[in-house]
Amino acid sequence: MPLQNYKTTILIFFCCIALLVSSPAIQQCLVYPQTDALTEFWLLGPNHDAAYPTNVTADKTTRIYLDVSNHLGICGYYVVQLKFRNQTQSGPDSFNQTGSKLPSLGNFTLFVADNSVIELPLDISFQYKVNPHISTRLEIQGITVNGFLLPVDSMSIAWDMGRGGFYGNLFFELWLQNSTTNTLQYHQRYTSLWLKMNATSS
Amino acid sequence: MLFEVQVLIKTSLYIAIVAATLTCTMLLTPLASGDQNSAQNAINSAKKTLKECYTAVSQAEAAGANVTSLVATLNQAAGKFSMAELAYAGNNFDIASSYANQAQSKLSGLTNEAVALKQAATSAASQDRQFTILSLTFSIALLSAGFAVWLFFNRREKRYSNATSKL
Repeated sequence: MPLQNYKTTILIFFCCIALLVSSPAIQQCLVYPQTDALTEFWLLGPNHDAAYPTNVTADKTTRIYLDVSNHLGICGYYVVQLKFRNQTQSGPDSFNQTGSKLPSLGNFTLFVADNSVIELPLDISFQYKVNPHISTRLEIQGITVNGFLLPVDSMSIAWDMGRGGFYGNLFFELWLQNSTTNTLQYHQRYTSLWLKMNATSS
Repeated sequence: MLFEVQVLIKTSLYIAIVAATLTCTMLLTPLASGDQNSAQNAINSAKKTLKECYTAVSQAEAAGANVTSLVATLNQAAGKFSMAELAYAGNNFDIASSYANQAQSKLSGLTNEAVALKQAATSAASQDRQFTILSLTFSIALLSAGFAVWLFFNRREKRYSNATSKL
């Protein structure tokens, strides 16, 4: 049988070999499904679950965990700012995507590789006492975080008539280092805990 | 007369105590602020080094290097740095200085490591590019050869069929 009868088979054979040889190059042209560049930021209670502390007593330490998961596509340089406020002070604004104007009591620097999670354990206790002259006012003296007492400047919490207690808001804002401007920018993420601050003695 | 002497002694004593207190305050205040300045400087220096190292690691990552171990080292330094900042915020300046220095020492050599990884990644990427160009060239050659063979056999077939029809 003459060889020219197999010309198409030979052409297909060459095409297949060419495809095989060029496959590493073709692979680079593939466009993988793109995901949104984002950061997840969440808080866990002492048992590594969503059972958050809601009641605190002065000087009693509670452990919480902060988790940051990076999906930005690059290694992230994050700073978590710890802030505390009473019912009347400004908190972070989800609608305007702005952070609180209150000064940070403590900063935690984290570097998270792409598609990785970093967990930050925090041992927190609150130092406060009821104002000896006005019993409906709680004076916050400081917050101890991981063994360091962070002083809180002249903050008092008024008795919440509706909820029946002194309530303070502990919140954490996530800030991201902008490589272009070389500045920290609010990353529009925060976690917050409203805590009933039990007053045992004045 | 005795009363006046007593008042004079009391006043002198009071002035001496006030003067001693003031002197002590004046002597100790610069020490405290010196600690604070030293801690602040150590923190600023560590922060600057952290930023530089992060930039180097980011560049290595962008070049395609595996930066997992570098990020782990950065995080260890960041942990120490956070402790330094907490200590500083709590007015523990000596501890703050110590933690800031520990953070700084953790970062020693990290930039060089990142630069080496970046160079290795760049070189690997260059080799990959060469391999890609080579494989594309070879596959185009194969396609051309296949087509040439097909054309050759096609012509031969035509010639063969023409010859057969003439006969």
